[in-house]
Amino acid sequence: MSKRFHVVSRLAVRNLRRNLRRSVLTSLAMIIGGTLLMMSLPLGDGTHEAWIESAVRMGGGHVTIQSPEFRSSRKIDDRLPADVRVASRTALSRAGIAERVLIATPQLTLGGLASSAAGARPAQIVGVDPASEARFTILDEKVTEGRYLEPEDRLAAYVGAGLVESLELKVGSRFVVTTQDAEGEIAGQLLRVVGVFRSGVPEIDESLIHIPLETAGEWLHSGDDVTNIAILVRQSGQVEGLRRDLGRELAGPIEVGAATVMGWREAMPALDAAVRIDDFGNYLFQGILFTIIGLGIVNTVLMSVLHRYREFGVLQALGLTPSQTGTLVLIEGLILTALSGVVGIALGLFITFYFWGDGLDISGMWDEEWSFSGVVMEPVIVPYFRVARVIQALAFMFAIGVLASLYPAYRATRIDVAEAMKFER
Amino acid sequence: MKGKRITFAVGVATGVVWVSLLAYGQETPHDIVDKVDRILRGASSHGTATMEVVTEHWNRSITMEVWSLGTEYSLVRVTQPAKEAGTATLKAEKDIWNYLPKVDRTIKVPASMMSGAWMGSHFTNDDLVKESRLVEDFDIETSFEGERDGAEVWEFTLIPKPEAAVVWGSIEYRVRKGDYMPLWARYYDEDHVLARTMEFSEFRVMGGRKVPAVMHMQPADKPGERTTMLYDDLEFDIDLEQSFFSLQTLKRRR
Repeated sequence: MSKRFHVVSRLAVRNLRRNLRRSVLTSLAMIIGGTLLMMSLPLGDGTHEAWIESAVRMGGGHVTIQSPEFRSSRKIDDRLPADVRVASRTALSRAGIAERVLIATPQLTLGGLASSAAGARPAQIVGVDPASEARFTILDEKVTEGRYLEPEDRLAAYVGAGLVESLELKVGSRFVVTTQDAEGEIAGQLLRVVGVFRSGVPEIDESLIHIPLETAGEWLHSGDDVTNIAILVRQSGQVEGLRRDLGRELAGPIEVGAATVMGWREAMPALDAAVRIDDFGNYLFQGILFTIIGLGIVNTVLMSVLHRYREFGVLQALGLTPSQTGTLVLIEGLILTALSGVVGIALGLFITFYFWGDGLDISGMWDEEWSFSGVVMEPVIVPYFRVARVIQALAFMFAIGVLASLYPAYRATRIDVAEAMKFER
Repeated sequence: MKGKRITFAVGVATGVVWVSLLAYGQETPHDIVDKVDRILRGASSHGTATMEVVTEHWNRSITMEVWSLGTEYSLVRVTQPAKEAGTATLKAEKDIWNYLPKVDRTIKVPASMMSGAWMGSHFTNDDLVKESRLVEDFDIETSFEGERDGAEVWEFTLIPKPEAAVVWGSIEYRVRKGDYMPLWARYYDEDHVLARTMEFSEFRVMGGRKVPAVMHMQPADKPGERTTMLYDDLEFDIDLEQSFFSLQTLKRRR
């Protein structure tokens, strides 16, 4: 059997070589498909990475530890109990977890009101540790005036440009933030603007204020309590694993409902949906593309089978069984798609990373910056390489190759030998 | 010998205090502002008032009934127009609730709404809640003392204490000397740009006290807009229990 198979394989290779032009033409469709696939997948992934990166670094991190009620209440009453905070710190420094964590920073996130002599606006106030937050957030790079918070700051605030405009503030001006403190009383706190940022996301620019955690603690009588611990992972693929492992480490507090560990997908469902929808759109597009490519391949392979009607007749007359004839056609298809798949993927990766490795500037395609669900669209897409995508693409193209060869192979098994050999050409 | 010296020192110190009290007419600016604040509210009060709000886009006039007990408790219920009658605001200690009769709902005003406009006026919820903390939050200095517009007045400059949670850069406050009536308060930002002006007028005796019957709030950046609060009648030191300021009273319709 294996010997026969060997013979059939050799036959297949020879057939392909014999009809080089036909082989090249067939594989060309596949190569172009593979190239396009390997251009669009890393760019799509790169876009999503940028979305996620910017969203998590302006908010609660890839993974966040917080009390289960906090997510909906956003109230200081639902802050993390001190023992959970200690447990989290231990868990985060544990071997096996610490290596995956890029940085973990405490945050005290609250809804409140910011008012100045010019008016009042609702605000999202985040008490942060200036030193670790500066490494965590990307907002410090978006500074337009002044500077980010520094460790010695006390009555300082880093404020979104939209909020600064509507409250008619500037660097150095005073304003007051008001919210409910840890004892349930309304408490006001005087702050001075030390820096202004513009992230490009209207919701953030119009409401976000960073203040030193120490100031927040004094103001709200909450000591050094925090509402959440925001964690950045080294590679975005590690989010799920880290979430699971942290969940196991903090099983005690989670059990009694004192804490939850949330990935960004849970914490930012809108962004998750956006990524999924975009992925779905890409898959749909690729599905259509490869259906067309597949039909093209079916056509050429079927033609090659019908063209070799007599040839196959002769082979079968010489002792090749119908199923071996079918296998021959299948193997031809597989070799062709495997080769052209590899070539296409290599070509796609080459184009993507050689020409656009540092980022593809698509800013010419739109006039203004636009944003959605807490994410700014970056005008430069940096492609993102994932081995899984290469394997996925190979498997996908292989499957198309097999599917496209199935019908022609079936036709090859149905050859009537006598009929095939009846006519001279 | 030693004991004598101490006695002498105490004597000198007492003398200095007396002299300084005399120099200030026995009242510091701090005392005067505090006194004016207290005139405007009794231990308890009850009255009716009309609030007229003029904005760029609409005008409205609301008549309401007002109760207060100390600085901690107050209740305001709208009586006119009929469409909004029954709408009420209760302030108990540091919390504010609103009651909307149309939907029969009581809403606790969250912290984030505290500086929102109260019933569309130029007063904020916060203006209602804060017992005047002028004397607590500000350092007060006399900037002028003498005759202005035919009346003996004081003018005070109020500068917020270094860490007081106050949005204003400074407040100027004019008070009439004879009867401690406030005339106006001007609120400035830190660059000394006027933000809003509160004017008092129609000084009348109501409920046995002389009070300004009209308060006029004028935001500086919107010259066409204003809110005027007119007290139709007021009585002070009436019989009111703390238990009156409850959610039940809030919901009671007329």
